[in-house]
Amino acid sequence: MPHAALVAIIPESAHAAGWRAELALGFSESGGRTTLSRRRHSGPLRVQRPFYPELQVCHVYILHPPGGIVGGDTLQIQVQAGERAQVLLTTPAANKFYRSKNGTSARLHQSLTVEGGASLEWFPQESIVFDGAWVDSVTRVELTRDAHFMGWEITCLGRRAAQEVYTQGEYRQHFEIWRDGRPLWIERACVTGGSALLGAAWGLAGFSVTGSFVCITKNPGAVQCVRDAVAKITPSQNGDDLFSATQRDEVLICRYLGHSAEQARHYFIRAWGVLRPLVLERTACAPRIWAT
Amino acid sequence: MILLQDGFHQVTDTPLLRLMQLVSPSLPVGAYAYSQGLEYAVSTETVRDEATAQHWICGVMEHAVCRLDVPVLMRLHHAWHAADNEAVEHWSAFLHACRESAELQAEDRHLGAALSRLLVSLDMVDAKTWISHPHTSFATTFSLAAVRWNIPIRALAMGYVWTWLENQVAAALKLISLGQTAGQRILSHVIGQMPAWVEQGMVSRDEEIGVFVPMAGIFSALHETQYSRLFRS
Repeated sequence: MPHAALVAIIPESAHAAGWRAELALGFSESGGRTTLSRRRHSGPLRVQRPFYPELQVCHVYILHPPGGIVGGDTLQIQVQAGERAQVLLTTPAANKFYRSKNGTSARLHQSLTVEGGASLEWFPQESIVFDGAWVDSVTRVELTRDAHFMGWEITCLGRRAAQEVYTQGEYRQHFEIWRDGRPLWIERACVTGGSALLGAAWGLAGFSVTGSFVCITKNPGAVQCVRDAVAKITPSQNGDDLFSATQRDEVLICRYLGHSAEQARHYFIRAWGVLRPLVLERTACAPRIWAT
Repeated sequence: MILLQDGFHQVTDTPLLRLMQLVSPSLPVGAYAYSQGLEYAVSTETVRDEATAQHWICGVMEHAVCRLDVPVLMRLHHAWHAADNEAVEHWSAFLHACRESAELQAEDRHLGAALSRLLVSLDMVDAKTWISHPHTSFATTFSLAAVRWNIPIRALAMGYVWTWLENQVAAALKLISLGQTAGQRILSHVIGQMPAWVEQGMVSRDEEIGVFVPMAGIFSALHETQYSRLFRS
């Protein structure tokens, strides 16, 4: 779809004031079963009823029916996984950040709290950043004690299929994991449209899609399992994309750099397939919606 | 002496000599063993000659060292100065949380521990905790030394980035067999840019601190399994 048409379908009134949408979800565990015990929303953010494709884990899809976010919009998602709750969250559609007319930022703030003994798996679709978009995106995970987290963030800068490059705007994204008030993992991307970073050999090197999949684990063998599993997808690092895995103390980090969000997910889902049994002691059970 | 400008009148000869002692390649911390992904960049021919080496080093300096290490170094300096141990702990942990690979984290830990040991043997007793602290880092101990030796904060930042730069250029000379003169040309070029980049890092707000050099981060992780290596990072 041409760019102009996408911008045109957003009502002018939405530009002026900006949408404000909030979603707060609370999960609690009782008798080995996790329920969505609290949900509050305002504006265009919703959840469907939970799915239980596996007994102990509560799968929930977060929906943002407008799909697009423009300058001035604020989306706020708060998730709290209470003690021992086992939660998997995903989204059925990509977030699209449209061109901002006057340089005001679109805000996406996601605060994910995971309490002792609980686990949260966070597998959203990618964010697509249109040329001219100004974005301030924060995903902050707060863990208590032995809480588990694994999750990814995938970003497409510009829309390559439409030969669109990110020539204007500013994209800021924080992806952070803290435990008991101490930082464990901090990634802060800042890309100015048209800047040297987009083409530089040390930067994005002309690639339009980046992704980070982070898993909290102290299992020292985990990184080798991931490398072995992903090596089966691609024997070469010289192709159209790159994948790396490294493990610092208790944080395992997989990175993708390439041209395809789908390929990034392909790598990350393969990594998840070996990490989930090691870390959460259960086999990977893909959310139904991934198959559609 | 532009680099000592804002503290020039307070700089007596001794702090200047102390800074030279800290930034000298003969400082026995073993920094020469690390390339920070440059070795992998050479193996893929991303870095292959003087021009590509200079491009790589400038990019990583501006977008990683000056956006992460420099502002954290400022905060550590203030924390040591104010004897605020909680802040020293916080910013050291923050630096570790931002390191992009196991190798980069191990390097920082190794350099921090080695400098702490050295400082203890030079009678700086408060470095002792940081010999085996899990979040020890070069910036943590470098800033401690600067505070104890009255090195002005701007000179500290320039000196810290200079040691990084000199080490990267030395690694590049080894890896792609550039001549010494080519190395000096790279240093001269970077000296023209460096004060502005360091300045930008010095005035960063907390929420701006962080590193985003995607290919350098990936290369550093891939270096961990590179078949044949001269360097430890």
